[in-house]
Amino acid sequence: MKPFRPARGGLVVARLEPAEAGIMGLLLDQLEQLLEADADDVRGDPVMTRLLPDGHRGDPEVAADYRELTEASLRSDKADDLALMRATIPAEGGEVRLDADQGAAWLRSTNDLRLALGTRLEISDDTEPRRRSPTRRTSSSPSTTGSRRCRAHSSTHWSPDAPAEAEHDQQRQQHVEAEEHVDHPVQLDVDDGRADRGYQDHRRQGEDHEQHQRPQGHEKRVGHPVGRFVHAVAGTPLQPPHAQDQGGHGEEEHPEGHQKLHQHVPQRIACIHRPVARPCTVGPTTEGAAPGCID
Amino acid sequence: MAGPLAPSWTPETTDEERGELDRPWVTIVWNDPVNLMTYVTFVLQELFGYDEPTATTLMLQVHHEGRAIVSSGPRERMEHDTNRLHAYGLWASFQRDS
Repeated sequence: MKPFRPARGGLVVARLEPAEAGIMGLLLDQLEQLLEADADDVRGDPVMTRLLPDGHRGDPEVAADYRELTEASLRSDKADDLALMRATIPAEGGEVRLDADQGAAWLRSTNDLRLALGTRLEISDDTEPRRRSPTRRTSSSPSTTGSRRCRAHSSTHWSPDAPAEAEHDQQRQQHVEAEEHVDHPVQLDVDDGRADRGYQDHRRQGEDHEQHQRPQGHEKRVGHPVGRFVHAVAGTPLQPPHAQDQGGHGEEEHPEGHQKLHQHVPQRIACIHRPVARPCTVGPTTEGAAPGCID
Repeated sequence: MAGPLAPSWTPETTDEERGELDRPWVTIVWNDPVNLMTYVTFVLQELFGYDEPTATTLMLQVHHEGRAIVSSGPRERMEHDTNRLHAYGLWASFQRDS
């Protein structure tokens, strides 16, 4: 994936690999099923409880009144965002161009996906990341309102495809501030572990790069609305558009990277519409085969 | 001839009730293990028009103290604010200020 960057006309532009587009489509489908299910059927589902939380704590009557007034529209707004986001994703991967409305829909929907995955994975403030590197450095970049684990979970970009992606995309490492200490929380069973090792190697490169790139930390002010949008997605300072034209392309730096990606299509991912204890299997997403859950 | 109509009895407002009425309603954002700091800051700027330092301060308050009041006012407006925060996936609720 090439991360979102501002483009002319107030747009933001990214590029998705076919496998990434396939997995995003799959997860959007699952979330859609939940949002469009009969409210009574999914009431009590932890994901729905998180996406449609109580408006009042402590007074069930007030909470029930609020829910009655707002739940249906909140549900349909989320479904609309999801549909808007899906409409911008090319089925076989490729460029994603978003205007302000589409960008806002992406923000809300990707956040809903992250919340759904985090809930299914039972991420909590007490969730401890698995240590990966014996030579850790202390991070000065708190990354979420919760634990570092969750930062890794959400990371800069959308996460389930990250290990395969991270083997190839060094640009991504510039955005991942706190991930150096934590295992990837969405457990992907990759066939031979090569992607996983590559992920670590790249992560170290990313650390070095990051130290040179952003000695002052990541809280750089980005005032422009599009800038703030990208900042909210990426969590990093922006590069001006012309930076892309001056050799900032990940593909050029890693010419073989995106070819390798297809060798590491994640085989299993956490499902949104069922507990993670029963992950679904996702078939290869290339060659037009629509990804789907296989029980 | 009778004079202007006036209620013959007006209920007394107790001190306790008066205190209750004086307290405004607030919208609270609660700590969340998944939402990104940058995202929370962005949403607070977007929805409430806070400048970045203010939004960052509120976000950090959520992060460190577990919650932060992000708006206050009449109940209906707090319900509306809560609803807008829910649309963005933030964990929010409204209540009387304590």
